[in-house]
Amino acid sequence: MPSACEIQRRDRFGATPKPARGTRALPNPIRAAMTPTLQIFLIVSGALFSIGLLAALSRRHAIFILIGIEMMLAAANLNFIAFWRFGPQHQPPTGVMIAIFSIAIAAAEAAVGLAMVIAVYRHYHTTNVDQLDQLRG
Amino acid sequence: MNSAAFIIIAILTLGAALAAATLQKLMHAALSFAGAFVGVAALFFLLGAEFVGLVLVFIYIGAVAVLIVFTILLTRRDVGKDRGFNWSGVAIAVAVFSGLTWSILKTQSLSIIAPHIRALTVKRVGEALMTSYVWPLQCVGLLLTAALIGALVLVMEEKR
Repeated sequence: MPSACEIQRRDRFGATPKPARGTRALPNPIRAAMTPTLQIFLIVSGALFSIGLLAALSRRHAIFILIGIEMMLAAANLNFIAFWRFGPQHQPPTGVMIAIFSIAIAAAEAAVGLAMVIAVYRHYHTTNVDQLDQLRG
Repeated sequence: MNSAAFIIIAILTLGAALAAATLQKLMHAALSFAGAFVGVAALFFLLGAEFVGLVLVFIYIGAVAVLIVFTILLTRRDVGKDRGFNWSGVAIAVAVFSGLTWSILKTQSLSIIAPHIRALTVKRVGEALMTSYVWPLQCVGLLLTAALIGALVLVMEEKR
């Protein structure tokens, strides 16, 4: 008996497409355990996000903070692509499109951020974010 | 989907990302950053999104990594010895990772195997970009132009 959520999803998106032969019912349990599932991709993406957070929070240099933010954005893109790959398919591939737009916005963010690093360095002759405390109350 | 390739790529990606986050020398960290993005692009290839993987290589390794290296070279005088490492950041990152992993492993509906899909050709991506996503595309173009002008204004010499 499918749950109410399942029925609602089926009404909106149609039935989940049947996977090709050989991918669903794996005869060999070892092979089934070895095939990457969505969970594994999400865990890798979560690890990448945490490493980006680590770089953004614990380093003092402004460029490291930008590198950490870029890694967190890449982890989000990996999530979009993984959910697109494992979910039901539609004609406009939404996950892929969002990933492409997100990459473009991340590039714009990196350009402006690095320009700000150069401007701050020209002003204060340092890129250590702990020393940029002029606005502190 | 090849599991051996996945394991190798995941280990390389996370190792390069960890090196980029913790190496002391900025230039080495920038190179590890490029390596981590090669790994992410390889994961995209593995997932069947070849176009996005190529876009990632072009933009991140071709543009953003080179921009980071230029910025490091331009702010070189400041790159001195070891600056302090904030250990509370490590604690927060570990807590976030364990929370994410716990919730992902607890969700039963995520342990699914990839269905067989139609190949995502560049033609399909281009059709979607030119039909359903034409307004977002224009907006991103506007945003990139504004970011270009903004970056130029930020780094221009100040008039005395």
